[in-house]
Amino acid sequence: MSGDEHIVDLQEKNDLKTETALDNDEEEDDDEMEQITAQKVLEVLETAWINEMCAPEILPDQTDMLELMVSQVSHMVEQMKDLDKNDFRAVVHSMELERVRYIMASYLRCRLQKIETFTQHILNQEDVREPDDKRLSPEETKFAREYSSHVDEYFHKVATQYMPNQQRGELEQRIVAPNLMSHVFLKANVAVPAVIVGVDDEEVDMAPGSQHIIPYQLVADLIQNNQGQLI
Amino acid sequence: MDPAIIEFIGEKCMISIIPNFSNEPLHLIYGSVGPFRAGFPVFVPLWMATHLRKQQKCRIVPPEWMDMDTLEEIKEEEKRSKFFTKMPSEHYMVVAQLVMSTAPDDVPRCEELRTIIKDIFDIRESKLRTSIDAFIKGEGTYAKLDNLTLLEIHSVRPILPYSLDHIARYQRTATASQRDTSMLSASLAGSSSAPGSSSMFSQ
Repeated sequence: MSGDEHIVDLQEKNDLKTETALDNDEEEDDDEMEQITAQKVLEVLETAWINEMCAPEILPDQTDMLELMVSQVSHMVEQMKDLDKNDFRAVVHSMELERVRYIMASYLRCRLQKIETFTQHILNQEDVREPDDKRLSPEETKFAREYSSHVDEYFHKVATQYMPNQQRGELEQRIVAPNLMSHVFLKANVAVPAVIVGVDDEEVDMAPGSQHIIPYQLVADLIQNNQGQLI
Repeated sequence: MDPAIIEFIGEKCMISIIPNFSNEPLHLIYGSVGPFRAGFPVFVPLWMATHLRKQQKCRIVPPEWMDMDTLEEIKEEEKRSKFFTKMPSEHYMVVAQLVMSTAPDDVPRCEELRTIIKDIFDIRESKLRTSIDAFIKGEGTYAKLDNLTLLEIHSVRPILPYSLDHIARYQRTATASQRDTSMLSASLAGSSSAPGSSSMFSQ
């Protein structure tokens, strides 16, 4: 499935477990709201995109942000219909929309790649997570389940059914899990005191804007709290 | 991450241009730019600047740091300092590359600038390689990389994290096999005490 199709597929999602950024925006007054919201949403998406590209495991989905951005983009496309295609404004706006679309598509593609690589591992984890804590959007969950059953079916048809039982191997042995201790580059957004950085419980204080290379698992919570971002 | 993505991210930098047309402000998603008045400088994102320059609709004003004296100073400082110095722009290589390739005529002493920026980059790269060498030999798992720009980090991405991952894997295996041996000898000796060291990474 291509990223573009997936964007169109996005359906409504009721529980808006939004970032604080969005909540703040909604309190802004009408006049500037659209502008500020769109800008912040884009920033959130960009950060999520870069984090997703750098993190070994799949991160919580940003469906609500994506929806906001998709509607913003289609709103702008609608408005631009009246403009002459060679108009300076139309050209610049469509260039920006292309950039935004690229970020969204690349973000979703990156997630799909992870789902395809770690299908079973991700599904197992999703099963034990609370509803509020899910990392996949409903569409992604559906994709993961279908993908997993198709792969199983295919392997069964072309190979495993002709093999003796003991060589088929257990399902458990085929699970591919990401290496959470793989090293990543992190940039601290705020001052974070006493982050454990080594095997011997060595601690450092991170200054805002400082950059570090560190095993992912030790800073995974910082990324989710937006105290730091991957680069 | 692709180098093209690094460039894409770098293209968000704001840069000053002098347009030769006038227009109302544009309300982009990323923020508003303009108003454009012919002959007056205005800040726009780099991607827009390169586009307008290609259309012959503006001149690019090189950023302040793109100046021989400033860069000479930075180069000297970079040579002197043991650590990485702060670069004038988070994406100095991307900005320099894009500005000088799309608008070489807008940059005074373009060729000299190109050389000196490359020199600075090379000094930093070799410093980076030396410190990585020391870091890996010192068997660390964590390091601070302040003032490194995205492109520089990217240049070591294929090698540094992966080698560290491999070293960590060997260490885990080593600790695990050590534990196995100690468990084995402990059980042979008939002792029931728990193994002394357990790896925190054991999966």
